[in-house]
Amino acid sequence: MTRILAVARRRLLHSIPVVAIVVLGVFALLEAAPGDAVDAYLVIGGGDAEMIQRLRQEWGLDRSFLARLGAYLTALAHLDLGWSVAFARPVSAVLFERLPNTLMMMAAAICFSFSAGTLLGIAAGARPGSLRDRILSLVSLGLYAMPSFWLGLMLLVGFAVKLAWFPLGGIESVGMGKTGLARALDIARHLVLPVLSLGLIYLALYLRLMRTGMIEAWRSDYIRTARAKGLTPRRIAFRHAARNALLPVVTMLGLQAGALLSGSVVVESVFAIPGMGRLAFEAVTQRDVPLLLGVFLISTLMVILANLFVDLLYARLDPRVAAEG
Amino acid sequence: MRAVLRRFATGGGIAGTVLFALVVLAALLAAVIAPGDPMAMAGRPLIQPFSDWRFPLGTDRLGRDVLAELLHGARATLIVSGAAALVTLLVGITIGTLAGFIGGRLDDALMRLADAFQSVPTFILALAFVSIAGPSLASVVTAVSLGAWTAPARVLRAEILSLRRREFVDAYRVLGMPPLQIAFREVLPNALPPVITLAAVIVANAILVEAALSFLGLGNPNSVTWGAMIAEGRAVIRSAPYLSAIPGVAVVVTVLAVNLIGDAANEAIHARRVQVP
Amino acid sequence: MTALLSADDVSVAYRDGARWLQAVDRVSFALPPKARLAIMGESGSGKTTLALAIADLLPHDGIRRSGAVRWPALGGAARPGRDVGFVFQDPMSSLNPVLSVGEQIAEVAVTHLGLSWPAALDRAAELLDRVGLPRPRDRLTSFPHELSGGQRQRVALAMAITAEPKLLIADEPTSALDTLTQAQIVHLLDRLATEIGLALVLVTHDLALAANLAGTGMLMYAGRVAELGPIETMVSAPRHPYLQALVAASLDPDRPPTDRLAEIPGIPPQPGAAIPGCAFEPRCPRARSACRSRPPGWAGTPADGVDCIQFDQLAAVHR
Repeated sequence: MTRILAVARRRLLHSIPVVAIVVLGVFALLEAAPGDAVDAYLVIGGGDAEMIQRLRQEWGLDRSFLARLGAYLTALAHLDLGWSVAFARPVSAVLFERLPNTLMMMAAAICFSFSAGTLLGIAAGARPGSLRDRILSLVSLGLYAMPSFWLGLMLLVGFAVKLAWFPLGGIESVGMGKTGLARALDIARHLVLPVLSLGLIYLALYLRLMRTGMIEAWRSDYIRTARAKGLTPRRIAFRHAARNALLPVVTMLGLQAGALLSGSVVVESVFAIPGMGRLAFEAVTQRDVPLLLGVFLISTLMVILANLFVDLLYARLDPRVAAEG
Repeated sequence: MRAVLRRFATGGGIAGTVLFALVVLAALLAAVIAPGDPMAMAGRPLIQPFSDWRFPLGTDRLGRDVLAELLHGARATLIVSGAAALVTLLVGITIGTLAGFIGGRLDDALMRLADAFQSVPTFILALAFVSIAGPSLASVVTAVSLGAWTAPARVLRAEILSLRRREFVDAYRVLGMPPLQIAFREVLPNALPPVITLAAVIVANAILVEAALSFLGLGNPNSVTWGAMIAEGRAVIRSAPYLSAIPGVAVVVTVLAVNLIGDAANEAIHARRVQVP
Repeated sequence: MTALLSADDVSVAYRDGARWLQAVDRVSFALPPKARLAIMGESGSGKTTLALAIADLLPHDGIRRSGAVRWPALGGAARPGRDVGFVFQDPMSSLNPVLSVGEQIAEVAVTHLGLSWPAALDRAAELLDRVGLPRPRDRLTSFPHELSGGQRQRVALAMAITAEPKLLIADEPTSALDTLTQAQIVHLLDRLATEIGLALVLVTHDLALAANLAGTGMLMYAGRVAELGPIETMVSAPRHPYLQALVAASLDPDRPPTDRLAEIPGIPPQPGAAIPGCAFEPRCPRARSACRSRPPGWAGTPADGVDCIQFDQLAAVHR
């Protein structure tokens, strides 16, 4: 346990410069964007030259670069991400309203792709070159080449338009007044297709990784030992081979956190899910730079957190990860 | 080299090469098979595929020839993804070489920068960049490269770190060759092979990112792109799903071809001999 | 006395593309309960393959095998882990890197002795104590990479004897270890075999180790048994020219005591090469033209003999 805590401490320290660089980058992009916060504010409110002058002073926009950076950092420290022109509300308020939907979808997609991908990978890697292996490998190759938004559209055409098994979009049925379990089931039904379009692609990735890992594991000496010990085939496959083959998959889980968030942008747009990814797209179409960069900053922090979690999980799974170094 | 080629010529390697050659051929022949502006109206709108021999793949909402759009889209896809892969590799190789060969503080700084870029959801970064810089070929290429340069940079840095301690580097130092010249002229060529196998992954990723950007209306506005075609088809997805399906298949085929080539190349280079226990 | 193990014409070949490489070629022997056999040979002689074939641990694919391995004293087939324990050469790679030492020992007890996990872990601690690991309770939660090479091999031994099998097969159990640790492991192996009443099959390239631990010796060359017999007579009065050269080399004080079996001039034949005569002929100081044209015949009894044409003819004269 002390080892895991030490790993956590090391990783936390490691992410400080990363966060700093990202925050500086976001500030640079804000500065580079045409117009400033006052211009943005005036689009909605309107005002005369005197008011513009006053607002600029008040918000410190007429000050030096460093002073502006300081003001930006102070605001960030108070969870103030700026003003969203498009929604006429603080960016943070809009963001935290949308966050749960995205988190729910991502969590479901990760669970689905990880569990199904590893299980199918175990099946494929059990006998490389067999018919089952070849079919699974072919399907995963095809899935892995698909853009998630296109897969989403095709699932939409097939299962929502033609078969009408699932709703066309949104996160829940509007105006039905559902509560409790009924509401949860309704949301789940709305999430099936988006989760599939996001998850199937990563399923393919995890399947391929797990397959390679299993083939590697079956060739290793410790599997021969497990056979020599007369363990059941089940225990050899899952406890000995899969346990080792899982390690690279877990690493990839961390690396894919950002990609999954990226995928949520297009998938949420396809399925009209009011989440953070769609918010990024809305910010782009409405030229709302503070909102877009707010999404950017929060999603990056989420990725860093996810990576931290995955590092700890990895350290838990692989005792060879040292506490220091 | 011949052994590598022979190991490359597996089912997947050959299939990938053939498919990719078809895409390249489509891009090259776009102006011959479908001359004129692919974005201009060519016939009646919404002709179903395989129903009119003049428009084998039908027409879209605005009466544009889907086949012509598809061929010109191949060109756009190859140009953007090729350019993005080139820029990515150049940036990655330069940064990786500098970090690995000079080391010290520069290495630390560059690697923290790489950490930061790897923590950022690359597509949201690309989205932010294109929306601030404005959509154009250059901004799309830059946006794709922004999220991809870290992989070749890291691989190259690791290679260089293992190479820089070799004798031949010391020999050049003793001969008085400037360090940067040693790095780029003598060490770099030896460190390249593992980076080359990354190229396929970078190209495939570039195709997918470009398609997603175009799908959201942030692609190069001056050319037909497959992503934009898919988005265009969305408006009539109930009545004419083929409009979104066809360009999507083109993306899948192209990415699949590149992945197959990459896998086969990787296997061929890293092939291990069969061991007898 | 009923034999524990009897091998009849055991042959194993590995597939290499379109060819079959004969690793073990018609090997027969019998092992009484509690007896100790040393299978000797240089790398590629087929000694490890033979050991794996006995324990039924050969891979399923790309293998062609014939002959029979019987277990008369068991009254049925031997169950790996239950009736036969196996210790491999490299204790680092043969232990699972991500599972605790305790779990890797206890799972054998759960599988074969039907113990509950807590009871199995108690048993694992006892076993660790028995193989001489200090603070065995604390060691249960250790992982292989936290142990030294000698400690890892002790853990492997504990795993192999958990279910108190009838036979322990040890494949080069000491060659990945330093000299001092080697001696300790050999001593431990000897002690455990006596205490539990194990029969022992020791696979080694080390003549001295074989003579130290085993009662019977079997020298293999190119997949075939070159000589079989009591280990003392094999060392004191070697019959096969190959063994004679080996014994001479091992007595040479100038040579370091490593891999003695490989120090005969020349190299063994390529696997898969078609050999009409004796496989050792190209390296044999006493080779004759007849050695090249026809295979040698077994001279002696099934438990004591030589695979050499000279003794074959001698035997023929005596008959």
